[in-house]
Amino acid sequence: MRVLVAEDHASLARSIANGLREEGYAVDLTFDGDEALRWATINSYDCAVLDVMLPSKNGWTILETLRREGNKTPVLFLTAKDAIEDRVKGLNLGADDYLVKPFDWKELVARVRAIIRRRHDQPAQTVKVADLEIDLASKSVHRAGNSIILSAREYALLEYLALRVGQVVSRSEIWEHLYDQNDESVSNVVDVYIGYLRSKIDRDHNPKLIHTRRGMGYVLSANAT
Amino acid sequence: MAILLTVWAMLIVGGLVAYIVTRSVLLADFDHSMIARVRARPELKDRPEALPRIEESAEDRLLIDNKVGPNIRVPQVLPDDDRGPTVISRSFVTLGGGRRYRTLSLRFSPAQWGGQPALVVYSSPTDRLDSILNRLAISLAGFGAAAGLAAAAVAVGVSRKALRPLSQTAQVIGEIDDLHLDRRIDAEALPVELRPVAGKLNEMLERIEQSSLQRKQFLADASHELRTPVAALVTTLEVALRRPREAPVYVEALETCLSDARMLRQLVQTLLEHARSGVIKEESEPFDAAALMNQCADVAEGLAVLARVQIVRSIPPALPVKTYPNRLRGIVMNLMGNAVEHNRPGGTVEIHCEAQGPDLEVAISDTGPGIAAEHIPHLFEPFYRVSHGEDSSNAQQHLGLGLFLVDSHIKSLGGTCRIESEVGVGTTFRIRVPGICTMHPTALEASIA
Repeated sequence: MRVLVAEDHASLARSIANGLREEGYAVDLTFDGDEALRWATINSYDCAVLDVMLPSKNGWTILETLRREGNKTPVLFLTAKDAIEDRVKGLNLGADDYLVKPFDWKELVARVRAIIRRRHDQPAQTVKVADLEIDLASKSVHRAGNSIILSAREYALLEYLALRVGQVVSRSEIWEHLYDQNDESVSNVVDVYIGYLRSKIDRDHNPKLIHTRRGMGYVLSANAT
Repeated sequence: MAILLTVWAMLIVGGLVAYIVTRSVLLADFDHSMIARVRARPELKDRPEALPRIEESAEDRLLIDNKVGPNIRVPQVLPDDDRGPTVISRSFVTLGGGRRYRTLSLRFSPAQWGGQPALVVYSSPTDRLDSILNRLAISLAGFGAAAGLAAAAVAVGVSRKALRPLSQTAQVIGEIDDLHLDRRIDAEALPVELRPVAGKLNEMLERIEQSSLQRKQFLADASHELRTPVAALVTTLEVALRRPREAPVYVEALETCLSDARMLRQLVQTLLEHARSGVIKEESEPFDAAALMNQCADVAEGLAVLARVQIVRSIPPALPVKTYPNRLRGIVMNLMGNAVEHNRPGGTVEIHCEAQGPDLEVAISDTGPGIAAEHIPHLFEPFYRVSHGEDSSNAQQHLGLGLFLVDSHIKSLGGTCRIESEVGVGTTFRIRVPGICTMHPTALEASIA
């Protein structure tokens, strides 16, 4: 999952970005409002964590502009203002959630995760496909009762496929959502990781769950067709 | 109330005056007709001795007392220019039967009586006169009472009507408290004489409301500003503690936290200083402003060396002033620090001060990036920062309070500050503190006074 973090207080911004990366997210970090808007328009983020008071463009303006352009990127506002009017304003403009500084780290992570789940219409905490069980909260994967250990990248890929279970996901979409701007673009890295996933999840099990749709992408599904 | 009493007094006095005047007029007329009746008695002319001693009729009672002289003689002819008898006394008498009589004692002179003065006591019943006077008194009293009551009713009605807006106003004023400072008095509802007072009260309320709003806004901004560095501390520490890490990672986290903690300390200190600046009474004392400027320039040179900036001084050898040295130092140090920081390598910071008459002029200029015109009106607002789009780790060192404090100090000295800036060239802060230079005679007088 790819997250945009825009916060002008540098140490706070970096801590948020580092923390989220450790949670398995690909994070793009900016200190500036104009840049945040630009990136949110160009890239496809699963969630944007925006400070309300940013230089050059504040969070509310960014949100308004995004929504006006039809951009549905979910937004979590961070702010030091806890007045009711400010909270309501953000939510009315189309924000998905609102956190007042200083906040608990665990709460930030939980809310980001919830936003992403809602985005993909995945209210459940676990995704089950045949005998594959993915617990999104604890990031644990089981198949036929056996625990499967995945690397962070592998899990992120599986999680993305699971959140869009049954839907075909193109290679470029996968790329967009799993890798941040600073990652080097290697053309077949997605295929490589699909291969890793298959070897851990599908090789010793039936039915096969990770399918290739020629020319379209990949899908996590119990059906082969 | 006073007007009402005055009206009543006037009614009473007027009534009394009317009664008295009318009574004396009526009485005079009565007496006159009595005298005329006596003089018209034919016996006076012809046979005064035939005049009865006492005569009573239904109307009159005539008592002639001619003991004054034995003989009564009446002139043959009453001279034409006969002056009437002398009235010796007038009185009212109530005789048997309860009837009231007006009694006149008339003294006829010898010429009128035939050589002998004679005393005629003539009484005439005053029933009709009395009843007229009674009716007059009653009507006057009645009218007076009615008028008095009407006046009272009108006065009460008018004053109540006039007072209702006052009591409403009093109620509105009573409701104004910290939560309802936006209420105002409706001056139009008050009587004309009170409108200026109401206007002034409203102005005062406006000032108080503005000051209260500013204070609340400042407090809200300040607490808002405190939250972000606290959030940075909390988040950095929480993330660092999520899993075991190598020592260098901990060191970096600790250093980040230290930097944020220092920022918090600075912020708290500045806020306290601002809160205290209105409370602590610093002494205004005479000192040499030139020496103070030089001290500040010395300190600034320490910073300037690191930034490769040169300090240029334009300070007279001595500048005696009388004001608050710490505040002046705060202003100059803050501005010079900013000038050194917002500068380019190889640039200059100039500090210029002089006495212009009784006023102190200080100008601090830099050759920095300058400030765009749209920011200049906001520069003294608390927490206002101009971001230049550079890495904001620099920007976060600026809490946005330095200039706010400078402005606060300048105002407390009674001075003004002008900012001149040109983007790409530099900025000059021009401060003027009037009336503090003690070399000038008028300022000397002021400082002695």
